[in-house]
Amino acid sequence: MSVRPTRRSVLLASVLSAGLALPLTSTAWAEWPEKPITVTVGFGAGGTTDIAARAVADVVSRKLGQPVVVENKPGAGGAVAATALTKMPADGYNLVATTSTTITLDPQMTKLAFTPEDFTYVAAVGQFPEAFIALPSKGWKNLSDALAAAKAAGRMNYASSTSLDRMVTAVLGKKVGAQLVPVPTRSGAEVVTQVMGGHVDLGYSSGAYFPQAKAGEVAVMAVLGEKRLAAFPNVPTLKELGYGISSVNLILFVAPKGVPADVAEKLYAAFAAAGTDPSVVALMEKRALANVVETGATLAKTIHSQSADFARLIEEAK
Amino acid sequence: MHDALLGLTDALTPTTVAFIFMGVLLGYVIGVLPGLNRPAALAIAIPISYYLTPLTAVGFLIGIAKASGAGGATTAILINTPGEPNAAVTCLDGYPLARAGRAKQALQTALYGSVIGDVIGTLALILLARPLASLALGIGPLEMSAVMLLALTFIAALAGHSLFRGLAAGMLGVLMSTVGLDVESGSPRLIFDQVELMDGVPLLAVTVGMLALAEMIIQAEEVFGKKPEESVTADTDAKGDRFGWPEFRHVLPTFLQSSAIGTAIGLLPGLGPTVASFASYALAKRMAKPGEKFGQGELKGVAAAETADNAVVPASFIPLFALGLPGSVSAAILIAALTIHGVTPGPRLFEEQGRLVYGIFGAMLVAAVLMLVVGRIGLVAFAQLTKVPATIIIPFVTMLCLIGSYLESHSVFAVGVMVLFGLVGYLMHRFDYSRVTFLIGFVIGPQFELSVRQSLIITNGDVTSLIHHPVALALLVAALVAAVFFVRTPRRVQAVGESA
Repeated sequence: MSVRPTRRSVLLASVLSAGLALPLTSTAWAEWPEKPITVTVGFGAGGTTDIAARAVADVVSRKLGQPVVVENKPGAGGAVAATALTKMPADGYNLVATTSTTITLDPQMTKLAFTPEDFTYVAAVGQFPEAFIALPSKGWKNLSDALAAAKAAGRMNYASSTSLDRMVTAVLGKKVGAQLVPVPTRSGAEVVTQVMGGHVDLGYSSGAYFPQAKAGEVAVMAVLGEKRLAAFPNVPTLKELGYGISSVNLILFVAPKGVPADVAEKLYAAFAAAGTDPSVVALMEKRALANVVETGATLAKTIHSQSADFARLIEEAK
Repeated sequence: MHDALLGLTDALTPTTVAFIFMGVLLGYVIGVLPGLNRPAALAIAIPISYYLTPLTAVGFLIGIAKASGAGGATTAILINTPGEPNAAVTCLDGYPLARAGRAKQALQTALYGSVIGDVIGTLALILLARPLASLALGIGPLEMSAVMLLALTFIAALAGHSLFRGLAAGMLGVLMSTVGLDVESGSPRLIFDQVELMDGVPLLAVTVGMLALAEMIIQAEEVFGKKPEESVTADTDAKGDRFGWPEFRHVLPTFLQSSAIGTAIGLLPGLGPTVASFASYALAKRMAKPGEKFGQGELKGVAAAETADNAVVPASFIPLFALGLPGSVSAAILIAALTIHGVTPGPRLFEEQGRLVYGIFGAMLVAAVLMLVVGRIGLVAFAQLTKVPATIIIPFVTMLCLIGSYLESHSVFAVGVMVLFGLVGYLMHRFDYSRVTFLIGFVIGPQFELSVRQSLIITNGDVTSLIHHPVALALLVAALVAAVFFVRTPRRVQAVGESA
């Protein structure tokens, strides 16, 4: 148990430190981390982001020698937790785990109180295997066949679950000259059910399709990421099919903007180690996440380029 | 089959049984304490279940759900105060029995009725859910919309004394459920720039506020206003107050008949235990033999109310497990609990989580046995709880409401929502608008809107394509017939409600 600071001791400390501010803080940073770190997950307990964040936090805690407390603050696709984070001190003790689209896409779609400039990008561990799926009985080899069928019919329904997939299909529809009509659903699981029940022709899912696709009950038409998936090496990416677009969604760990460089370096190292830890690698495989690990400056570059990609996609979809 | 055996074995592990036992114990306490009811107790207990495995968590919650129904009879019989809204029917014959020195008979009839109803409802769930789930893939948005329309028709008609108030409460619930991001366009609706409202008004905060906090306000008002009903104690040694074989044979037909009614009503989403106990009581009364004086202390009256009430709970899980559609407020809260543990109820649940589903079924049977044992041993002890003064219950429960709503999302916003809906719930109670109907509208609303909009897109807005969906068409016709029937015969419907 740590000693709880009383109001008087805090007052005393602040009076003392007012005079000694500079030397005091620099020695304090040298000892970072000297107290537990909090990772707030932007989604409910038990989901993919939550489970991945907990596994990563476990390893990070061992590397840094301080407990990492994982809390959940679900809401608005991670935006509630991200908004709260921007108001926290940038001391490296407060992190948020969410999906990268919370930051790269959502602020461009709805009015939110943050932009990609408001964060220190600590790490990305794992990428969602976003894909289009259809019933095998349709006889389509890949998404090109499906879109050809849509063009022939003029109109095709597909089960949608995010605003992201609506944009992607709007662009695809424009490119091939067909109307792809999104049928809204509330979860990836429902998308799979609608496709399997034959109520819609096509579906977009960020990962819920995995067990059914493995069992051959649904066929994967195309993946949205930059690379093919290890689990379905024969399924092409959208770019390979010549549509010139892609979408990447990562499990992302961010801190408020302005974390001191030495603290940030320690965080990057700990998260990079976590990303290659056998327990985390095994979990990514089990949860059908592509094994992507990035930290620090590299990640910040990725995030900004994805943000720009989405901005272009939004323009194209209009 | 393999899954079934594994799952049932899971339910018998000591840890699982221990948590079900704790749930049952807690459920009895909640049921006996007036004011704390089933959905509210479930909502408050969900944060506790975060830290358990999915099966122990659901087992714990199911223990609470089942036992609180059984416990609700105690206060109804002894102090003429229903511990749960649906136990209001139990008061009709239970309290007169207690005053006539037959409190123990009445309590035991309620206990056995609860257990029998519960077991029959659970068996129906086990037998029906899987076959229905295999049909469920074929149930598309059109069929879903039609099922819900039929259910909403019944809910509006049977919810309370007045068709208008029932509709108004239900529609207000539906309106509240439209807050958040639009399912089709993703544009925010009615959120007033509050990020916290993007996912809609939080379910648990609304439920806890509407049911638990509002009830505490109502009780606080009564503490200052009204004198409590005269309490009757269950004397264990009273002569002639025995529940033996003759009594059991006397009420057995009612047990079975009410189980069937409870199960049937549970199957249809949204009707819930209150409607079941009223309908079951009305039927038992109509079938009364000469000499059976319903309303003046007839064991069959207690049996009818309690059996149907408890058969509804497991039966309302049938649409939950088969279609992912919540059949009651309790079922909706259970969905929340399952989702927290990464389990999405719906037709694929049996394939993906067969072992867990059968584990849950097993847990439900274990809960029934524990309910009988705990109820039988603790009958008199639990009755003592009715003496806990409101001045202790009210602050304690209010504290639980505050903690429970905070823990859901670690936000003070949810606490504010809870308090606000506590006040709304109180006002609705004062002006006789059903809070449960409001909540059903709130719970079913999003699914109904989604299904209708999906249907419109899939059919491209073409009504004639209903021809290709005969099941949906048949359900819509049934809803229309029911609506016409209810509008043309309002007085009969009211009679059921007013016999309370």
